[in-house]
Amino acid sequence: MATEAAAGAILEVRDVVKRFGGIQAVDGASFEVADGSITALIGPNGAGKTTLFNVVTGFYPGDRGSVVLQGRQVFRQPPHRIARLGMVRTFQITKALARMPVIDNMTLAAPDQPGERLRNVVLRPAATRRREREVREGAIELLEMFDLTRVADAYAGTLSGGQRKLLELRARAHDRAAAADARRAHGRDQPDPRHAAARVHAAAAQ
Amino acid sequence: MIELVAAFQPPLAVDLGALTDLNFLIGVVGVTAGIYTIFALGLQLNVGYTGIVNFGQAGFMAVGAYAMGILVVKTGLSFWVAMPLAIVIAVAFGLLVGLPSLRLRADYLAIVTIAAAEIVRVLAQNARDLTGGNQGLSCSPDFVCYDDAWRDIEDGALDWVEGLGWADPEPLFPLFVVVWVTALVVMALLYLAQRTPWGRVLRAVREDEDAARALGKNSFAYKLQSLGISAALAAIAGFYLALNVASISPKEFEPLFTFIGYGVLVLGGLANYWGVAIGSLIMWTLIGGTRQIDLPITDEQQAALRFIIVGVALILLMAFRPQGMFGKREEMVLGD
Repeated sequence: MATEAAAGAILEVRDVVKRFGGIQAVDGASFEVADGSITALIGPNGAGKTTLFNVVTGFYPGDRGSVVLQGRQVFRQPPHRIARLGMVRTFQITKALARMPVIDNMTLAAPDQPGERLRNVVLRPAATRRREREVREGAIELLEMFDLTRVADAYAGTLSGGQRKLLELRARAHDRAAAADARRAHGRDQPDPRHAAARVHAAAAQ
Repeated sequence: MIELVAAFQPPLAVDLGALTDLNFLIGVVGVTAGIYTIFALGLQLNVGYTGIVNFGQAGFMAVGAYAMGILVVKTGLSFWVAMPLAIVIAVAFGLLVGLPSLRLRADYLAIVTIAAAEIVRVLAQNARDLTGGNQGLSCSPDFVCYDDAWRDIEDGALDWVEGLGWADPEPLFPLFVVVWVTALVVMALLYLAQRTPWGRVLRAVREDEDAARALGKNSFAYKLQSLGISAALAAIAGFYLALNVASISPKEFEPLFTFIGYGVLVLGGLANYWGVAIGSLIMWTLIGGTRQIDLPITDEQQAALRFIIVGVALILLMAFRPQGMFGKREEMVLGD
């Protein structure tokens, strides 16, 4: 029945259980996120919202349950693997990479850079350079869009709190699809603001 | 009374002649600083660029040096085959230490790595059949020594420079050249690697492992690679150390070696490879130079005084340039 219900859902969380010793942090949580929607998870302090987020994004291994992201089971997968499947998250405490330039914070978020493997740096230098150019162009475009061009070469740690949060969102909204959506939202192609907003807000949902 | 006055005659007699002496420049400062540069470049990759607090670098160096020595002396393998094998063994040891411990928090990782290094050293002290214990390892009973191949090259090189007109060349000159060429090549390679997307991910892991994970980077794999490369560099430094001292013995691999390596890092500045070479040169000019001080005190007092002077000099350098010679002040301030 779950797969039927999940037809329009990009994220489907079922009966997730997480215990820390004797503490039942999450006790059978289930929810779905429909494509293009903004979904909020609310509850009082200590309700287990953050724990649930950490289980869904792989930072904590859940005890029981199922997390299906775009049709793939990702429950108990390591966080970097879930992230590569398109899971985008932020943290309650902003995690901008302080001692790296703003532009590096942006380019880092781009997927499919072969040069992130040392082997490819040596064996596929041309592919690495080509992808790096694309990534940089995309990053600069996004920075322009969000008025951060001036600080592109500054350390991310020197930005204001608000700028840093922006940077964290933008960095994580930086895949080709999202960039394309954001461009459209910006009014160049067919405007469809809901799309870009949904992606950014989904990232901000925590 | 007269003796007393005579004894106090030279208030601070540093023999400045010795500081310009070739033996001092090449032997004491040059070769040692070069070996420390290679050693500390690995530390720089770990500490400055990946955020791994590796306190076991001397242990990786010991594994590399002993593996090379044992392979040549005990199994009769060629020096040239033994070296790459020893690098592989040192890297394997680095990964073995890293696999369980790189998941720990930085301070626990420091404890595990220093413990691993001490295990290696104490093992080398006691596995006498293999390592020669405190006597050290140099030659087999039928006089196959680990540095035979190198001594041939060294003799040839010395003859050659003598032929060029350098009468009575400094014996450590060939080692000096090879060590610094290696150091510069390693420095250049690391510098280039740091500018690639791979290097960018390393720095992201240094800044925040979880953020890197949330961006789809396997932080653990990058930390493991960083430690493996560092162990390889430690092994290479170990080979040169072995060639410099003519006998591989456990006292060469005390934790102090790692700590002086950290001193070099702090002096040169974090997250800068060229700074490692400068820091190492400053460190060994200080340590070597203070040996030249000629005061009417006992050797024990002089030994203590040397390190007091080195300490004061380091404090002054840090007071006036806390980010080190090449470090970026911004990065230091922004660090948490």
